[in-house]
Amino acid sequence: MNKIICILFCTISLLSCFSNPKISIYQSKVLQKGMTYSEVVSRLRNNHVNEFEIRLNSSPSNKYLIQVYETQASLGILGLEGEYDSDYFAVFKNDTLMYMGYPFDMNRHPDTLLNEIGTTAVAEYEKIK
Amino acid sequence: MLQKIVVFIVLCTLFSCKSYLIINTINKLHKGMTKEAVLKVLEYKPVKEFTITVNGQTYDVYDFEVKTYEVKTYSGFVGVGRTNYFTQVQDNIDDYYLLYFNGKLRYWGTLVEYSETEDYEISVISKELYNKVNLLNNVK
Repeated sequence: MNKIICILFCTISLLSCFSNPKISIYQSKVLQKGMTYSEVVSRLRNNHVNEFEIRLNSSPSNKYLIQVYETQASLGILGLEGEYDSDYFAVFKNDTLMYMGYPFDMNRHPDTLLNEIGTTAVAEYEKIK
Repeated sequence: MLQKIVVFIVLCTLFSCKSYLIINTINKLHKGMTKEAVLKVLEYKPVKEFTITVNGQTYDVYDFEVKTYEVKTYSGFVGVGRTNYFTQVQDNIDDYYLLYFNGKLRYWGTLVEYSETEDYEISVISKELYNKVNLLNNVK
């Protein structure tokens, strides 16, 4: 009985490792502002975990598409010593990548438009995830 | 025997847990938040509190501990015409400073982030913050 539980546990762990859609910080460096939606999706192998649109209170006519990725860093062999996941946003306006980064970086940026996009996107994502 | 092992693992896990801020919690911060609203989001208390004065304006600083990681990528030669990339991740515990002006959150980050920011006002404040942190660390 214990052997079966062990085998099941190992199988599930291995499967979850291979189906992991998370991107590494190294992978996120391939993005550049100005890329099209399809270029971003192709570079990051369609690994986004969520996608939604937002409109800002200050300019409701403009809509922004937010793509959510999860970045991952692991420590030790097979990540057994520790693993940290963080949401990472790619922001598109009119099919063009205008910003990519962690939401907290957007929220503290000197550009008030990015502050509003970041705050609105985080609040929206909290509702749907 | 199996039960004892399970209990041992659970206890080890519980005792090895120390609370640090993580990025997904920090993502919920935004400019203009009150101290109470920030503490509600973070669910941790600062390890230190102090004030700094820059150009006659006084700022409150709350010091938290945050878990960060540093990624280093190395390239290595593996056979004819092939280069492989190796990534090493180093785990750190950093001090994370929340800066308030008139009771409202103005900026947050590590000391390095304060000095590297594109926000001019914060880059000016960062020098005074460095001095104050060094002073407090020397007193300790």
